[in-house]
Amino acid sequence: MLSKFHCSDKGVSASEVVLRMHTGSHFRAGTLHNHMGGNSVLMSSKLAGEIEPFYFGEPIKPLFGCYHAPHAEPGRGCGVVLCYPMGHEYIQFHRAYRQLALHLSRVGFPVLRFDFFGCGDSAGNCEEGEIHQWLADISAAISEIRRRSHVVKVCLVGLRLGGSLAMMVGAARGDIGGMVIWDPVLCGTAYVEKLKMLHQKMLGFAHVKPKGDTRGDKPTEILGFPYMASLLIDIENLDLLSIEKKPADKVLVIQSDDEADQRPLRKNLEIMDVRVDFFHCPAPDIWIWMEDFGKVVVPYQILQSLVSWMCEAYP
Amino acid sequence: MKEEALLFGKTRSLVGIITYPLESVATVNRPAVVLLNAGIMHRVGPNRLHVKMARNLAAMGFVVLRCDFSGIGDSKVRGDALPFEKSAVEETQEAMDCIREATGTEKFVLMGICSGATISFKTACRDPRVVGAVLINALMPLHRMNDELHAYIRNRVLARHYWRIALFSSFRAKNWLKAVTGKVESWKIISKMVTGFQIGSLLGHQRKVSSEVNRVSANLRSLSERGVRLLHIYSEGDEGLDYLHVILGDKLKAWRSDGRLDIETIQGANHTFTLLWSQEHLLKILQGWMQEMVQDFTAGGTNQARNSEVIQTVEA
Repeated sequence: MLSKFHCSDKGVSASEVVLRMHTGSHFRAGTLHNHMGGNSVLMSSKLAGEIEPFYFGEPIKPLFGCYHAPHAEPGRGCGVVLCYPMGHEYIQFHRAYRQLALHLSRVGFPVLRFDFFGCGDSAGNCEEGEIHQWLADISAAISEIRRRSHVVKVCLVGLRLGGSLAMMVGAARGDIGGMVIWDPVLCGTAYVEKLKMLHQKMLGFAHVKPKGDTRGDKPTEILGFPYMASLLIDIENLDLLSIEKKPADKVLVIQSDDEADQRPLRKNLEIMDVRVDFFHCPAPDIWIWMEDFGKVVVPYQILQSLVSWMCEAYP
Repeated sequence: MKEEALLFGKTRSLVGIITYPLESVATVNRPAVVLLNAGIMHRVGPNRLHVKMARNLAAMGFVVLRCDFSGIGDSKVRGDALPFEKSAVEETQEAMDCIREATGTEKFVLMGICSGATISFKTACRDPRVVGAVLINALMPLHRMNDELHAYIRNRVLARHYWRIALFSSFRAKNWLKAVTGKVESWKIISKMVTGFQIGSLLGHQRKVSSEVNRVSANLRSLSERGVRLLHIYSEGDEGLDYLHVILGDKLKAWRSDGRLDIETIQGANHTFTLLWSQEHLLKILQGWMQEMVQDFTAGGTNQARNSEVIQTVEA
């Protein structure tokens, strides 16, 4: 029985896998060097599995998905839907989610990663993204994994805004067995303020010259992505602590960002009679915008703990 | 516009999204486009830029494939030990095979940002099906060099880059402020600015650099003989621009002045085109260049004289 996890206090470098690419150097993208404990470990070549990329959902708004069939037999009887974060966080965490999907499929879970409408490879422009659409997208993904894997039980895994959306969907539907919410956005106003702060920081540091005033209350762009006023309002109205319906029977809350205390959420979930597990692994730098796309961070220890929790929750 | 997800390559383990134009859009005389990974970022590109590029070009009648090299994005890791610079060229050729099978197209334009530009260039040199390449913020080494020469040229490039950024860039005031307020390690930058132009080092490497320049020139001449069109696009804040100046030096000026070579520079933009206006600017440049390519194809050839918007590598 898992109730609480803690990672050792080794700081970011001890708990993350860093993948670098230098143009022209000898490079194999599948080689991930895990710096944990100073030992270099090869991961991806062992995890590489078959995936099926496809489009699904409404024909006029097709969503891109990658289905990872379960490797182990017999399967776990539960499908996992991964909900990405938004904006620059989506770009930064694509690799981590792929790794997570490979790990989960390897231990017997069918997994569906998908891009929200207006994000990634899905249809729609970035400007068309809306909260209510994204909530519908998660439901479409749940239907899709049930159709593909013939499972009834579904577990949602969501990171940042993806975690918040997953919880909202779970509470609205009432048929989600398990859920992992990783640094979910509890308060939309604070989230938007943080994004604006990061954008201003980028403007002060990066080799960019903005056109027009960038200090307005309602930004039109944040760290490379357009944010329409209506979307910002929807996000600012988001308050995860106001949810009163049980989002799932069992929930793992992962906190890596110490600036966003997840304990109030944990208490709220316990009041709703949800079995809550909590994993605290400080890794504050993983949210920072990076210009260098020859480097990506994969929080390996968090992924390992998440997979362990899933295996115990769905033996 | 229609998009399809697909697995392709010899082992059907490479993931790509192919974007088809609407049936109502004219597609005659249009080569297909392949968009290559920028660094280890997956195929949507920095700030989803590759998706925008693919859909913009599809709206103009081009079939576009954006894809992941093995081990990047959703593509599976290769089972062999082929170095990235070789496997990436091989996989780009497999991407072209895939489009040919799907559409019958035999002509291709390769596009890439950063390392994607480097692989685009290398593949263009090797594969006769490539009729054009758009090299965006191409980083060193665009061409193979030994380590000693690479280190020397990198120092020269960084020195030039820091001087340009400090004295002539549109964001120089911001950079001086960063230096004064200690937000950057000024001593490291000053050290690079000085060491990159040490006389002893310059003299010691002059002959090697000359041979490198000749080799680069030969590559460009070879491409021009095949009628391959190259478009270099650089952000103002990017080091790639300095690389081109260091390698080609006076030749660069000569080639630009006689219309054989032109470079598009986007003032006020950074390496990853973070600001939306710079993304739009990039898209406009691409659209204009691709439109010219269609006009030239329609006019009946790939070796015709071009205007100054396009890099010309036609042999004199």
